[in-house]
Amino acid sequence: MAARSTAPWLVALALHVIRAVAWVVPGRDRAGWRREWEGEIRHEHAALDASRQLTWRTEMRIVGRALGSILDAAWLRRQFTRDNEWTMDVRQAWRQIRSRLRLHGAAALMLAAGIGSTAAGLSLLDRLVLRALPFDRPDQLVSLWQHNRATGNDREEVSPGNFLDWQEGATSFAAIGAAEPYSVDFYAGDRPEIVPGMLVTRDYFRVLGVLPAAGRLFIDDDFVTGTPTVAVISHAFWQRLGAVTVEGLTIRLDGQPVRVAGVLPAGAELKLLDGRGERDIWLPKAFQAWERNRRGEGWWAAIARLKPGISRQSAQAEMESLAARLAVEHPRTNAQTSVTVVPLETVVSRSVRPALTLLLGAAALVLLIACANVANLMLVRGAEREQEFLVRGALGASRARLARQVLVEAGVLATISTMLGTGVAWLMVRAVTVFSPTRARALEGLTLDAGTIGLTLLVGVMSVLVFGAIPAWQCAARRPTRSGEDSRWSTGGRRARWIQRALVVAEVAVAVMLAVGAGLLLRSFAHASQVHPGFSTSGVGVVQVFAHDRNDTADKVRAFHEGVITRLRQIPGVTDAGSVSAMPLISANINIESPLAIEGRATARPSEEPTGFLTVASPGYFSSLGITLSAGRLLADTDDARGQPVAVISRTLAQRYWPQGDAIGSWVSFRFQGALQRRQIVGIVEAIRHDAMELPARDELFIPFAQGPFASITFVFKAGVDPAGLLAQARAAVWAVDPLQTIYEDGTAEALMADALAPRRFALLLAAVFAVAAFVLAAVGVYATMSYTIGLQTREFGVRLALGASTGQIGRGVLRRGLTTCATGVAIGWPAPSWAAAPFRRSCSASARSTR
Amino acid sequence: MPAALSSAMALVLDALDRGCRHGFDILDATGLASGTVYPILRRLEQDGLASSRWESAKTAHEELRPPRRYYELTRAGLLRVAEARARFPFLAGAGHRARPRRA
Repeated sequence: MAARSTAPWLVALALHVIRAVAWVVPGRDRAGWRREWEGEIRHEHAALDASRQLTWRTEMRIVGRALGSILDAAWLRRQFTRDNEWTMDVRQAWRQIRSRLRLHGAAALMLAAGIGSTAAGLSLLDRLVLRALPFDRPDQLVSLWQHNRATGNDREEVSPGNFLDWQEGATSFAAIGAAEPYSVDFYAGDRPEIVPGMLVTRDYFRVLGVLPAAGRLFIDDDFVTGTPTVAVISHAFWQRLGAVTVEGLTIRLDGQPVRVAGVLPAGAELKLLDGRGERDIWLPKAFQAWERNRRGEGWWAAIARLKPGISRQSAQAEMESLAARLAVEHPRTNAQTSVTVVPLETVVSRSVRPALTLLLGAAALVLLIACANVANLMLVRGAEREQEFLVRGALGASRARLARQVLVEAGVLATISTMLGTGVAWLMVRAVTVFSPTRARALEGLTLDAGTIGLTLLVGVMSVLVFGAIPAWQCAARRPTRSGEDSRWSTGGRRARWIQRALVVAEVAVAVMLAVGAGLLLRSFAHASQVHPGFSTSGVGVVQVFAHDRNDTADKVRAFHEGVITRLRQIPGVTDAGSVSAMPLISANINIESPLAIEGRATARPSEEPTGFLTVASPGYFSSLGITLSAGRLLADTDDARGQPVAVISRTLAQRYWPQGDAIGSWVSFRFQGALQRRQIVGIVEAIRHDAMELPARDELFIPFAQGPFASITFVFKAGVDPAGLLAQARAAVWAVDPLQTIYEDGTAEALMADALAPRRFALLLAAVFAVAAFVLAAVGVYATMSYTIGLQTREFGVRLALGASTGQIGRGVLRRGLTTCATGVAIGWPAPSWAAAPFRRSCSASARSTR
Repeated sequence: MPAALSSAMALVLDALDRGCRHGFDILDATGLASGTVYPILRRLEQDGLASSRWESAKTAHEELRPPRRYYELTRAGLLRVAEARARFPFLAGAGHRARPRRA
């Protein structure tokens, strides 16, 4: 006799198996099925127990039998689904698709391209625009800007005095905070580096309502005067430091030890202001006495959270009346200053918006073409299968039943396409993150999530409705009175033919629209890249430093500058070297716009007085960048501290204020570095485009470095060889003079230019890809439709030939029909881009303006 | 359409004819796996060759388990058994195996 079982859980396992498998059994049979199996198992167990035969082996046999229930349940399920009408439709549809595999495969691929690109566009939109702000109640978040009514710029950065007045006076906001760009020198390895950061006011993080990823954010005690002693760092920077905890974490900033209080969660860094890269360090802002009264042009970014129930419009109205009051109190600085209240989301997503709009629009159009194509193919297939439908109708199938069959076929096709489309969407999202011109952190880790796949499904379902509905309706509308024989003579009747032609027209129109749109973009890109920027980029390298911190007197700045220039000139291959305070196209640009008083002229009204951008340059700047002289002379080495104060101006400035051409020899005076200066204009040079190629060149006045040493310096050098290979030596030249001087940015001028054109190039690339895709799709669609319809007309042609028509007549008829269809499409599609381009152009120029 | 007569189905028909009533008894009698026998029983029932009923609740209650389902051949099923025996002669000698453990 075998040993008694010690494992009663084996029977329990068998019962669990039954319970689980029962879910496979169709609902109507489930309860009985489960009872039957449980009855057998329990009975077997009891019988074995009674006859003392309960062993491991017999119990394992029970489990084995329970596992057999899987086959039983599967059999029942298969029987059930086989009887289901919908299943029959799906099987039928699958048979249809397989019988015409190439045709349907092509259709599925087209749909997949359309669905995939639309889903990719939507997921980018979701990430970059809809969820650009990973904060609580993002709709309450706004940004505040100065509106300079004199220049019309409504997105001017905020000055500290105005911010403090706003903070004090405004009642619409639950909290209001500001951030001041503030980069710090960070000492990690043997060379110091610059980490972009922000000084933030007490309520800055409170406005965002953000919680730290580790440690804490700022508390009131952190805001003490003097150098900051605590910092909040970005998640990326924290990871870079490799610290496990913020407890006791101290870093050296600007040579001082600073305690890390906490870490911001990833994605909570706001790119409020333009500049190099993302912010990594936030420090508490302590107001200096002079800042409290500093109004006029500012350099701060202000954000606020609206009180619940207060709309942005009413906040705007309140701020305007506040600004009006301030204009009365401070007429000298605030007479022309108002306030703009903008949703924060638009500020954060402004750089990606135009490209994204374009991407989505183009993707939707491609999807539309694909849908039209597939609808057309389905119509043609419907015509081909007319007899089948007539027979089924005669056998009693209702029109609704037949229409459902067509819809189910569309559904099966869409399911396959959606699966392929998900793959396409994934590829596109990857491609965008790799090739995007703004390699923002917002795109990091962007991949297809559940939401996107849901969206893809939604787009797929929508496309079924679009391309399945027309054939289904056609099918339902068909009168079964005509004999089956009839159908072979034509291609589905006059109405079907009209719909087919309309679809082809629409396809051609959309494809032409995309192609023309891409052409317009290409032209604007060509235009922008052909615009002469006023300087030559070839062979030019740049190294930007901010030398204030390490050189506190003019003499030290001068000595540092002299040392670096001398060493740059000694690098083999370098033919020339110079420096400038405001390098065109560089991200951290220094813009000092100042009123100019021209001697011998009546004093103008404040809003009409001449203004110009003040730039400090060494003589080598002009020769290195190949800036041509229009009149007079360039700055020379003799224009030093002992020489007469001189200036060179740009051609645009000369034309604006000396239209008679009498600029040379005139004297201008202006305030620079806190002192009034009086200089004689000695030369006029070609004007330079500083910000973007589509924006006008700058009204600029150049001061010789030797006469006004300025610590924001971009060293430039001209080389006979590729300057990229000399950058390491150029950096070494700076460090040879001062080993602790940080370098803010270095690169080649050609790279700066490429960056400036990058958004345009990206938009162009997108448009071109979509236009080509649309054209291929449309061509395939038109070809397939035409060849199908003509193939079905073979008999008709035969009869006409027999009745005396010539092959030429028939050929001409076919050709005429094809050409008129396509010509109609072209006629509709051609002018459309100019309407469609208007909003894009607007957003493009808006983003260009905002980067000023 | 009635299913073609397989040897497994013949075995099940034979077991039913010899008085096996319950699923597991048929497993014992035929030596077939449960994953084979149950779909055959469903099919026989679907084709009208067998019918099924539930054991009385009282018996089941006394044994503290759910009631068992038992199967019987219909008139058509009996005819099919004859056909099966004619086609699969080994069934005649299989009598010694098709002995229910508990009738």
